[in-house]
Amino acid sequence: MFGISRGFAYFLASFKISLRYKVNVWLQVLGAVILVSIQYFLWKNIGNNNESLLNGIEVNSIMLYVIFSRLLVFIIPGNGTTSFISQKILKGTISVDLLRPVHIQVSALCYEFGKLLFNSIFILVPSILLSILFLDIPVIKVNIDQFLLFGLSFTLSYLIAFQMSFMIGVFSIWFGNVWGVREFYEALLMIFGGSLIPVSLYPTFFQMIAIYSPFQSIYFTPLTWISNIDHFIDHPILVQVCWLFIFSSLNHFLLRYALRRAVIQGG
Amino acid sequence: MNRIICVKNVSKVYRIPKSEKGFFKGIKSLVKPNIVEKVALKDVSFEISEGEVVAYIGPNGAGKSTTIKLLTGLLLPTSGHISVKGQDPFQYRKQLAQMTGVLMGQRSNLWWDLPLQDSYDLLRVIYNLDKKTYIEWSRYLIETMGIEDLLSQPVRMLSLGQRMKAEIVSIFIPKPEIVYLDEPTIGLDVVTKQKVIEFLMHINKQFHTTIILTTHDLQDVEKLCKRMILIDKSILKYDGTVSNFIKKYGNMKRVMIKSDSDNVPQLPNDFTLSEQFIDGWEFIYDQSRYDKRDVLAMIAKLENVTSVSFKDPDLSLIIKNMFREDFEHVWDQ
Amino acid sequence: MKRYMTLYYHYVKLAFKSLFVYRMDFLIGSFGFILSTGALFFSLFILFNYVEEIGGWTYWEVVFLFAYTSLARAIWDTFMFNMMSLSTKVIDGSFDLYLTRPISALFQLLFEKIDPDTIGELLFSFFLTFVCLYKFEILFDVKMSLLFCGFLFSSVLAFSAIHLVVNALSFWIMETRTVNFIIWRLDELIQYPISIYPKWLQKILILIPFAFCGYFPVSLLINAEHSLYVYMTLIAGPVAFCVALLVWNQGMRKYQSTGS
Repeated sequence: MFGISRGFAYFLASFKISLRYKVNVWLQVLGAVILVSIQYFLWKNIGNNNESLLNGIEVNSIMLYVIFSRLLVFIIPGNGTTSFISQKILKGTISVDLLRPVHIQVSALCYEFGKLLFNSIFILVPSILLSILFLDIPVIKVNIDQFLLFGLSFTLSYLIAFQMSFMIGVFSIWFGNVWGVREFYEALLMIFGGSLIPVSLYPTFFQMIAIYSPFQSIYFTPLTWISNIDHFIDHPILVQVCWLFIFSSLNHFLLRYALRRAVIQGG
Repeated sequence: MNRIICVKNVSKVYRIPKSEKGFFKGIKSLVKPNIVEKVALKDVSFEISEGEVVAYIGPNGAGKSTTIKLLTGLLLPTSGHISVKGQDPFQYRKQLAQMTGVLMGQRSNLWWDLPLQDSYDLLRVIYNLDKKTYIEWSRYLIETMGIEDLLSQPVRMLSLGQRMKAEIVSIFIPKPEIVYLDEPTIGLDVVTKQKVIEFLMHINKQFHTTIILTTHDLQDVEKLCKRMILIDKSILKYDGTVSNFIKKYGNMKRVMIKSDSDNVPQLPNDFTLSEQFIDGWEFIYDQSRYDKRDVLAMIAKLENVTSVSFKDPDLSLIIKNMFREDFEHVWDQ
Repeated sequence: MKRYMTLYYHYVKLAFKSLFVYRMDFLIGSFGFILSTGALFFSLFILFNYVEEIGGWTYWEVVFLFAYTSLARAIWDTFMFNMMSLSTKVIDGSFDLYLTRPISALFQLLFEKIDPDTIGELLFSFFLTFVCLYKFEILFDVKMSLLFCGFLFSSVLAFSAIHLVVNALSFWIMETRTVNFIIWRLDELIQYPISIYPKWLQKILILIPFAFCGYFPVSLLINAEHSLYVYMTLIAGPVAFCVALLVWNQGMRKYQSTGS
């Protein structure tokens, strides 16, 4: 299909841009390994000096959870998508994108896919290998069902994060600048998404808010599948599907509004 | 007159890590990058006197921006010697910056979110100008350029033309002795362009400011500059007056043939098709080889021709054709 | 010197002026910054619901460490965040603009803009530090308070030095945005007592000198220790900054001899 092949060009472009800056790649792996190490040493220290269950959860499970949450940061859509769209709006080039045969969300998503592939190959895989080599990261038996569910759940969380970042980008129509909104979103993601520590450890009150927020669908839900942590919601994947649907529809309307405004205002 | 800029046998070579095509080569280059040398300037020499307005022209990538960076001390030449006001610009960069104005494409002196006046006031502090002189001088510049109305507007609200006018005024705020302008008229409409050119001419006449400008717009050159330096493929190709240049290389003539037919008229090989129109073609030929009457005779043999007209060459035409392979012989003369 | 002071005053004035251009985003951003600092604090709080101590440090000690490092970073972040844009400036060539002016390029880079968005973070961590100073009876002890100020100054310099070196890498490797992102994340490393790390990592943290941005000053303040470490902590920042200046100068030389 024409649209897809054009989208593929974006994908390749983002991949190539990343390849061009070489030393960076090595430093990124180093950085990722250090991020993993911090969590490893912290939780190892906690595990050595306390009983092995926190709130009924094994310390080893928590360690796996936090390690993977630090790695997910490298591939979950975020800043890239937000500035992709907000720059187009602020510079007024969004009306040009109207004329393109590719839907703007498709090109933004392809750009993210490029980053996903690149960061998986050059950051995730090497840093996971290095971490296993140098740190005795606990291995938890994960059966094939759980692994498949993780795959599905991650795909959904990836798309939700993409839709949310995209939406923040569109917000630039009103705010002129989306740095602040972006910061706000990141903070909510930390608190209610469980990107720092699993939501299961929270006091009940915060747990309740987290459960009903879309943020836990991004980090908490996929990570529970591979770290053997109970996901205390019934049908977590169904909840993810709902959030994805909600944000996609919201974006659909926002984008239509944004385009109309951009066309009226001119470039 | 005082020589203000002296460039002697200057060369500049960039060393660039080459990016590899293909996935695995790309990975390989992560480990061992290939370094490629790129010559930006090759043995270039010229001198510029105080108060001159010099056009520095050539195609993209010819080395124009590199020259400006060398003259302002941003870069160190690979070999050769440069002196500006008798000093090495690289060593005395900050001292020379005090009396130099530079306009570089896409790089703004102005604060995006704030009213224009704030940017100018900030420049006063950066260049450590006396407050009273600054107020008088900036008012003079603003009035000369005619941008009084823009002062209270945020820079991001200005149109491209307004921004360029504001930008050029900002260059002159510190009352520079030498000014380098990289493409000052690019993308401007005719009226704004005229205003900018008048402004530059005025300042040059009144204050003997030395102005060096690079441009693609050769009409600007004909209006503003007496002298031009032409550079192509890192080599200096011409240094002299604009009128001499036209005289020397100007024996080309343009002929415009209008026709009902869709086929390109068949003319001898040394007629070059320079432009195509909806209802005709423009060719260039060498006046020394063909008489006007010969040309008319040739055209008369063609079918469907509706009209023929002759035009004199201008600078852009000459240069455009010089950079063509088939006019290479012009350089050899 | 006076000229630079005047210039800095103007930079700050303009920064506050442009702050009001995007008022809405500024408000949300400040709140977001308070929230994200709060989120880190929150995760500590949760953690101490289940554990007694981390690396031999009690809850309030870890909170003090957290508050102190956040404060040092927030000060750096508010007043010198513009250095993070070096990479972009080198790539698109706007760094050249600094070089065409008669004042130090480094000065322009560091101070041209201040980041008012982080004022929320600054207030939050200042408040938390204040509480800790009170809690550890440092606040009313003149000598200890002075020591605290000295330490903080040194830590801010150390923070700036680390980030300056990382950003100066732009002169060699062009893009440092991702490295910056990582260094930013590495701040987490010193928010816990470095005693939880193995010896080799502790040594690296002393060398980098992240340990002087939190662990050493805070443990010296808590234990009211008078050892050689006090002097080391006081000079670590200035020394690190001098080293960073050397790296910067090398980078400038590289930039100017090879071009972008």
